[in-house]
Amino acid sequence: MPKLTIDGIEVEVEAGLTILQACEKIGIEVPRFCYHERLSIAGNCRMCLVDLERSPKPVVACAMPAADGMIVRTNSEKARKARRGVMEFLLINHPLDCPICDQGGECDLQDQALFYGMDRGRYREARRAVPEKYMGPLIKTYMTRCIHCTRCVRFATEVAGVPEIGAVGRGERMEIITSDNKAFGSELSGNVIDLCPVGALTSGPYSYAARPWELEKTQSIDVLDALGSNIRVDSRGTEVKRVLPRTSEEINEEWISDKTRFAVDGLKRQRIDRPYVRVNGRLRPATWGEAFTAIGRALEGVSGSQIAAIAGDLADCESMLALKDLMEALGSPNLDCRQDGAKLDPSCRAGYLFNSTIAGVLAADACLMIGTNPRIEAPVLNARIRKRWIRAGLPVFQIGPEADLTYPARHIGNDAGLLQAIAGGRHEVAKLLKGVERPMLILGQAALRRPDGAAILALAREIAETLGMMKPDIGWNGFNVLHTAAARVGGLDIGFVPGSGGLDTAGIIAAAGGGEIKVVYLLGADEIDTSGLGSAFVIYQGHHGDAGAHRADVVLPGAAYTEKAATWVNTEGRPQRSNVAVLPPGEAREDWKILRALSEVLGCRLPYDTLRQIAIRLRDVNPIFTETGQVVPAAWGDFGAKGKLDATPFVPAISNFYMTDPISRASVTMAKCTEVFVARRDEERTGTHA
Amino acid sequence: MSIGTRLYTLLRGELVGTDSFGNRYYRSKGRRLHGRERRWVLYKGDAEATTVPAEWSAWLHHTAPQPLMERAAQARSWQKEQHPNRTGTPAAYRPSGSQLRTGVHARTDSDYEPWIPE
Amino acid sequence: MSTNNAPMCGQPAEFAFSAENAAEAKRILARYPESFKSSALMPLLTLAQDQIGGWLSKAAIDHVCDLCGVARIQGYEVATFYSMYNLQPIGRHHVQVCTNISCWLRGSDEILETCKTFLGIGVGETTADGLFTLNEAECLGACVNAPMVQIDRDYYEDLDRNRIEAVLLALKAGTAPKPGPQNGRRSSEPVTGLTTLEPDAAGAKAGGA
Repeated sequence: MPKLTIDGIEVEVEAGLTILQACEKIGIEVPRFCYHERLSIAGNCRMCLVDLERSPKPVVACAMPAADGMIVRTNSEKARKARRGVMEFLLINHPLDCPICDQGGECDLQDQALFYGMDRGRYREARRAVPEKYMGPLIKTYMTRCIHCTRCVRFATEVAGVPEIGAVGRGERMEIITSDNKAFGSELSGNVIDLCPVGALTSGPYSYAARPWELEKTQSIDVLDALGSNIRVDSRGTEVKRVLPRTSEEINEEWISDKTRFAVDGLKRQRIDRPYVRVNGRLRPATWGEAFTAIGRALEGVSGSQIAAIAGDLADCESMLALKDLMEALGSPNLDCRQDGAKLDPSCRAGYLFNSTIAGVLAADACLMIGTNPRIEAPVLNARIRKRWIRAGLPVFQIGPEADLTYPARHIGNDAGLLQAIAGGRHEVAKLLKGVERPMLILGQAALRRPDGAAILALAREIAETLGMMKPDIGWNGFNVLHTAAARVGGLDIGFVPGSGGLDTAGIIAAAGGGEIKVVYLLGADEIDTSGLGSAFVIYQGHHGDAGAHRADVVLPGAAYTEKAATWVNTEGRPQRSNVAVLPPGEAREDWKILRALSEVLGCRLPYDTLRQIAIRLRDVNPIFTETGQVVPAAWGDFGAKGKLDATPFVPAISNFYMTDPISRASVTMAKCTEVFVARRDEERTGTHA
Repeated sequence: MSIGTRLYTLLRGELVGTDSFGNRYYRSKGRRLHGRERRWVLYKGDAEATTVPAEWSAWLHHTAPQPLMERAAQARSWQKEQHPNRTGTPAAYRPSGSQLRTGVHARTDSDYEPWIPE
Repeated sequence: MSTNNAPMCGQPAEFAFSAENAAEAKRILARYPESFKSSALMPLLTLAQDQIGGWLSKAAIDHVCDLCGVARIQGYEVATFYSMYNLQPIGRHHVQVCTNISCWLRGSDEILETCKTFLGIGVGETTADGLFTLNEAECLGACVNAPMVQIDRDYYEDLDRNRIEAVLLALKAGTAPKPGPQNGRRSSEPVTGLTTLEPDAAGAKAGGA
């Protein structure tokens, strides 16, 4: 533990920390451009120069290990002069276009030039200009502004695992380019925009859209995958302008996926902004009263068992609870939140959670992936697994469709039968998993959606139990289910599943097609086969005119995730609250309020009028909602059902990362990404790429 | 106007003139304040400063030694007639694009695109 | 060496080491442990450059990167960083005139000018007969013998107008001029002859003692 003195303050730090990290520990700010806590140390911007006693020259704080007895001054005349000099050099070739630069107002160079720079330039010679580079539809480049910190290069290589950005040339002629001038093909590519300390890499869709100081910042939760990444929603007026990550060590560190970041333009398109009622086969605009009356008429004389409800992938816990209470009041046991038909077992909480937790991945020693491609289903989680692989060479075994995960994974086959071999200890992978201290498995939705999903779930449990993934003595639970829908865990937690004698999603659709079910309530459920609903009266409550709304007889306009204060439970079982960033468009309302109002019309008033009251009800239903933001470890139990396995290979749970839900399907940016990246991947796969 | 003002005007004021709105302009007889004569106006009706025409305004603020009656008489063709402030009245100014003028919200880039069923 | 990343035209579509060079590549790769295979990148790039004839095609860089197990962009970074790698075809002889401070003080401007007029090309160009490519170089570390040029892998030092012309003339004629100082001195001994450590004087001293 070296002990050093920084600006007269004595500090003891762990061995291996740099001077800069030691400074941060005691709250002394050292300016920097290239240094980033989550990237490797490059030491090439030279901005963090500090004065080190007995050193003839100032030293780079970010690359200099702290040593015993060092006396560091961060604010002596020598250090100030050195920083001023570095800043002057950086500004030599940096254009003075802050007024028209998107980074203006949130630019590291701007801020640090103000604090540590000179008040005038002395450079009168010609500046260099660099041609723009193509990095795809998401990243806009303005390479003359680049100061060569190489954060983007290190991010691409280390975190994203897609080494397609590089710095070519040397000295003044150095330029940042992408491999073959192709689009940067990572699902996390948008993060280089945040990392860029200047305006060289800026957001394409957000270009020239707003200034940072005119945006209203709302802390919220992402729902476009099941991780519940912490985000900040930046809005102006009625419009969400952009989404940025919030630091959360437990979930997303400080990264978010491109879908989370860029799908928000979908919030402005295809919005349901008023109720509709089907009259003579056509949906006509209606008032709330007319829509509720139409629902009341449709429910007249219909018994409880003839009513069903399905919740979609983006539904929040409050609205699902309200719908569940309403269905109970109407006497219907037919409700399901697993619109994809996944054979998740709601009886045991540990059986549908990512029990290791996302941060816990960093402790894992081996990983078995069953029917999942975390790179597509949860890119931020994949970055975490990659981090573990970089640190300790995590061995990864993959059962399912072969996929490039950005780290080496041993593909052992695409056959559910392999699970039996592993569970029985006959497969060599079983020995490898058993031999390490903390093995984990990740069970994907591709495995659970199959008809034999329950049998696979049971086999996965057996694998977890027999191969030492359950080690309560060291606090390790290596059984993990990776969800693809933000609503799923919350739905299972509040019990939005068939009651006794009730039908599940497939059963509801079949019964509706057969005429046994007369009324179907879809809470944002768009991923079901709506053509199979037969002549049933369909009520669709949601925010986008997608498959469900097209089939509906009554459409009720709900709120999207940026427009309501609601709770979602992520794949780890962590309940998190979102906040209202903008108001729902037109007549649209927060979803639980719609259900509360409808219940009154139907004569079975739900007993809550405020968000607080419904939060209390939520807590009563399941105590996990008491601790927002915390993971309550789930007790292990019996889940899944033994059964015959299917011989068919696994099919990917998500075929197109950029379009998975009504919001991203409505997004123009995501459509462009699909065009560029998915088409390119297909080309590469079939080998037609030149 | 208060009694005090009225009394002061009666005792010390000398009427200089009256404008088209009926406002009467006074100056002090003899007494000077800060080295110059006092000038004031008694409004007709409510005290509304925008009813003071330019020719009188200049005099009132000591910009001109005399009311600019001659200048006012030779009004240019582009000069508009003086009228009191209309803010808060139905005749208030509404720039083009104002929702108050048309009663309709003009579409902007930040509007959402509603779903319209087939 | 050129950082211009404009699409390189006239690129051969494929590259493979010749049988002989493939064996050499294997030998180079064997020098490094498996986890440090990327260290072979530079020697292999040099090998590929020699095989192609003085420059590196994109296909060659990609091939070498695949051999070393590094991302292709990293190979491209290395190839553009070092001035020893050429990314465009060059002439039979690569004339690199040092114009850094020592050579410049000793008249490198004149040397460069002579090269330009003698070859009839500008800096960065290749003669029509494909014999010479002319480039400026930063300090090549032979300051005691300034001004100097590097032609292919040889240094020609202590130049003046006539001497560089003689060297170029000889190369043009297809003969190999003697590398090193062109004014007759041995390596970097003083131009005026040795003043100390003379063999005779040393011998005399030894004898006298």
